[in-house]
Amino acid sequence: MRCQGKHQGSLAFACCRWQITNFEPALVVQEPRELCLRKTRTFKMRPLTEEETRSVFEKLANYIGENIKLLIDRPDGNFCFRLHQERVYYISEEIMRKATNIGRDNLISVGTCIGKFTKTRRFRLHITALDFMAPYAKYKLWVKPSGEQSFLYGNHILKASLGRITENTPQYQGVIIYSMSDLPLGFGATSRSTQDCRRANPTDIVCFHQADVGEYLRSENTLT
Amino acid sequence: METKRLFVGGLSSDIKEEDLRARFASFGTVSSVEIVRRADDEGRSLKTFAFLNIKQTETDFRRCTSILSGTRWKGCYLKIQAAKESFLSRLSRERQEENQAKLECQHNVEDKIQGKEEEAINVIPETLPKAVPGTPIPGYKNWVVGKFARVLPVVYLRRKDGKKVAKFDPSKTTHCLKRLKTEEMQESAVSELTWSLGSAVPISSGVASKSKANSKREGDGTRANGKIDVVQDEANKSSEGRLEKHDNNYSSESSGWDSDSSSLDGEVNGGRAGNKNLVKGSSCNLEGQIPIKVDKGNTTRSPNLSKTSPVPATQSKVLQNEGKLLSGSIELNGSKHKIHRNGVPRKLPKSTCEASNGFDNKNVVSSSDSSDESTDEKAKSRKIEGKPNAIELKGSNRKKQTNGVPRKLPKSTCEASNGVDEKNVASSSDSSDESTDEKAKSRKNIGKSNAIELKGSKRLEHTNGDPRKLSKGTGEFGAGVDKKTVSNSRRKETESSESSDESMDGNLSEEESASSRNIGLNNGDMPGSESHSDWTKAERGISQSGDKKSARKSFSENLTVDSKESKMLSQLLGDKMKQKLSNDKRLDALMEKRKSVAAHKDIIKDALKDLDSSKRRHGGKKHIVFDDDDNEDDVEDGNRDPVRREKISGSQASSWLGLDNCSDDEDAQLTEDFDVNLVIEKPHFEGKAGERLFKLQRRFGGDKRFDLNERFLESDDENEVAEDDNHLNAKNNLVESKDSSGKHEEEEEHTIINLRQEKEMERKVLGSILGEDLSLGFGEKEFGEENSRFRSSETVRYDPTREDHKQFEQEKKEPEKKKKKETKKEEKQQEQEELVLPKVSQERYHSVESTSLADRFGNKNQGSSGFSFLFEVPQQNEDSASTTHSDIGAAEELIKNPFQTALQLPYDSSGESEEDGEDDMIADTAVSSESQPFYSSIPFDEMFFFHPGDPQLVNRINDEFEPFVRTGSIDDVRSYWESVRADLRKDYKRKRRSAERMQRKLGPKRTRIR
Repeated sequence: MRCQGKHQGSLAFACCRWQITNFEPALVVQEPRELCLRKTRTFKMRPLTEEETRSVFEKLANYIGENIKLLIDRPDGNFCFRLHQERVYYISEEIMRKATNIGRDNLISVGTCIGKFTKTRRFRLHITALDFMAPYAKYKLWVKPSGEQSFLYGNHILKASLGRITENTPQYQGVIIYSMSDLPLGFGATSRSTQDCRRANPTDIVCFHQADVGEYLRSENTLT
Repeated sequence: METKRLFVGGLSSDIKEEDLRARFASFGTVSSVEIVRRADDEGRSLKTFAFLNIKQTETDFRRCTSILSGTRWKGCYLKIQAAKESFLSRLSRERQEENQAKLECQHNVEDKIQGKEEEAINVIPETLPKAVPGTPIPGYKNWVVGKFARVLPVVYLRRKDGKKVAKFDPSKTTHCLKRLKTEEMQESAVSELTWSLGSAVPISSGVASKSKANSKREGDGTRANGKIDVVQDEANKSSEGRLEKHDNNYSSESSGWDSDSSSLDGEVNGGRAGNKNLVKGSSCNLEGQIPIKVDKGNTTRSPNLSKTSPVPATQSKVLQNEGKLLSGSIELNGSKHKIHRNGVPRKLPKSTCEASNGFDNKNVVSSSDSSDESTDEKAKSRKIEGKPNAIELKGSNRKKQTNGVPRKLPKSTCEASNGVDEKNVASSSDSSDESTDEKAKSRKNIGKSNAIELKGSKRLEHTNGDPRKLSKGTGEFGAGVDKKTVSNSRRKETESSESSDESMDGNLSEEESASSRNIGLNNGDMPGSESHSDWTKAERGISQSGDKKSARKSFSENLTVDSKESKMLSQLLGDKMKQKLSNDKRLDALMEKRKSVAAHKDIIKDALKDLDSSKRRHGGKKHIVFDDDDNEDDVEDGNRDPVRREKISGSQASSWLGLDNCSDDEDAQLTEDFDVNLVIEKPHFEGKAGERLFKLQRRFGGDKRFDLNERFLESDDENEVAEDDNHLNAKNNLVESKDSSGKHEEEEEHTIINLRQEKEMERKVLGSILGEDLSLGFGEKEFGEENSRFRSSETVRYDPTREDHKQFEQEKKEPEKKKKKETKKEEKQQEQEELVLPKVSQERYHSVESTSLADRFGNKNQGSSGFSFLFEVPQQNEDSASTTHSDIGAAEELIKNPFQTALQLPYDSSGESEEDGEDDMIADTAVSSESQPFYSSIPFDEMFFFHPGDPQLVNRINDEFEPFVRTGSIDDVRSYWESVRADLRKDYKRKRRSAERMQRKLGPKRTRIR
């Protein structure tokens, strides 16, 4: 998967350069850290339970629908979801096997983190999952160059910066947001359907911001 | 009562002594009064005070002080204090004290110093024996005892900028001192101080000796050849003796000789005691006296030792003399001899001296010759001595002296002068490193430029430290004897010729044949030499008269020239010989190398052999061997795997690793077998997987340790992933890793199973989420198939000409079917279509078959077949309205009701939303009631819109929610609505305002957050 494109003034310099050739970043290991006070956190890497899988898939289905099965059964390898310290990782089996050899305290991250479970066991997608969602997106939204910057800073998308939108996008639908050069910038949820978007004022919010690639810089510390 | 000193201050300026006495008389006896007046520039007195010496008691003093201090007297207030001692008295006192101290100290010092009586009290002793370093000297400040009991001052040094003063205490730096023993202080001869590299000819000494040669033979003997002296006292003695003799006999000669030459000559001469007076001088005088001396061949060189003879002359003479010997050399020598000789004379003096002394000196000389540069000198001396002598000597003594010739050429040179003996000596010396040079020199000494030439040529060689060359040179010399003779004839330097001959002889010392030749030649030259000798005599005289400087110059020139000459000489005369020699050398070297290599190999072999643990495991050595358990198996299954799995060590290891190139039988066999096996007997290399395996094995470069057998074969599944290279490698790695961890295979299988189960579960969940209808083709598909099936909408572009794109086309289905699908299961149809070709997004407007709709709705003529519930009511069911409705409905189908619970999914039984949408619309359009009657006419299951009698309602209606159908009448609804409206409005407005407020507040912040 490759994300190319011009920046056109976008601050997300990082996203333009990323080239995801495979889905498997290396294992990230660290020295053992202090024991976490919260004991509810799962330290060991384990597969998802059905409940968890359900919530994850539901969230994912918002954006890519039934193409999730393409994530499950990939032609180029077996990939699986794993839960490690309340974060869900999408990793190939080989990596996963190797990761089992690393102590739970030492393992920081495996493969790609697609999201995490909050304390109330709600699943929250992270921007890092964009790589897997972008090619399978069902509904897309294109942002004008003038509005890229705003979105990448974490603002909602206004009608004024809306470039294109998939037809028949229902309201509150999960969409993947692209720049005009087809570079995935993030994802969000529409606040209006396509029809409504047509009638909206230029200052009306068209799409709610949920994640953007600018987060790679803003929340560098918390991303895993 | 004691004499106190009082200070009385504040006196008026006009006070007088009597007044003070009077005043203080009542307090004691005033012995003395001192008044001090201080006045400024203009004479005004500033202060006046006085010192009183009063004899009084303490009480008196106190009384006095109390009464008088502060009182006013003559206009001034008094101040009385006990005064310090008067300055003078103090001084005197201190002096006395010092003196006393000094006296004491002195006494102490004097006690220490043995038998020394010193009046002076203030003298600081030089040493304090038996005093530990660091003890300060009593009575003196800043003096300490340093090392070796020396009394040293402590020095305070001021820095340059004068700001800091550093203290240097010599007793602290005792470690820096070292006492030199008197023995070590003995001076060694200057010659000892110089180092020679075999052929190096100490010029200075030679020069000096040359210069002195004339005057002092002894100088020659001692000087420059201090080494020689040291090395061989005998030689020294002999040389000296010879030298002296030389002096006597060949004073001119020897003196004339440069050190080298003279020495050589002396030696030569000495060597040839019986010989004619060798022209030692000539040989010694490389600078040019050699020829003169050379002439003296048989006879000891006439005191051509006088080195003063012009070098060229000598050289030429020598050349001439020895022209026979070295024709070319002679010529060369003509000029070069000088050089040569110059080099030689250095050492010659002694040698010459020795030479002159006779045969005895020969040995010595030879010894000296063998000593460093002595050879040159010897040669020179020999030359000087005269060829014949040298030759003879050579012949006989060569052998002797080759071995035992000291390096002291100077002596040798002297010896050379002695003649044959010296020659031999020279030759022997030649054999020794630079001896050759010296020999040449000695030859020169003999006054043979030839010798010099030889030397020159040989010197070059000598410089290489190869005596052989010298010998060669000598050989050449011999060969060139004829030439030499010729040259000799050319040149009148008999000496040179002789010397050259001699030198050549010397050079040939190593090559007996050559030497013999030389000898013969020399013999042949004898007459020449005689002439030479005559000439040398003449030269000697000249040499004697010659200047030192000239000698020196000539010497230097000779040196330079000689090198060239020698080169030429070598070229001219020695090619053949050289070639032969060099060839021999090369062969020898080759042989040696081979031997060494073979030896090395053997060593390694033996060592490796010993390493074979199998043989020695239980032998004498204690090896801790961690054997595989497979060893036994291997024995049984030895033939199964051509690659042996048992440990291979020792000699076999080397062959295994391909490091050992030796071709022992067994090794060869091994390799052979291996190769053969590699090619033939490895079925696991067949096939695609096998190929890959083979490639992998290849990467290790044929190392037997990394042989891959069947176990490394990939499983079939993974083979099909050939397309993706990364993948392939990954798989291979995976496979290999699997294989490598044979123990973990089970576990891995277990995990694999787990994974499969996991996948199943995931699919199930997914299916449940998306709807059961969607669980299509979730089975384990072949990867290739999957690959081919996956297409994203972005990449696929519909091409009507393509066959396989027909699937994208929508068929024109019959209206009934379409109707059904559209009405009931549009959604599913869409999804199904999407499933068929996994389109990612639905960018195209899903077209509800407008044609069919148009047909339906527009076609009012249709009867029962058509679906026209709305259009039958023309008022309300406008095409546009219905279409819009339908459109809206279609669009709104997917709207997710925001008020639904979180669990509600858009795709989940969207009947509610649909329903609501429908409800709204229907409410808006207020069609429901009116449309009801139409419903009955139309088959229920075909109707587009919901209607109360719709059987599908059951599926779609969620009982929790209100039915979409209006329950009451319009009026009721309206009235209800109007009643509620106001409240709603208020609510809404309130909420709206608050929301706006919030937005205004958070507006600026929101941009910052996230």
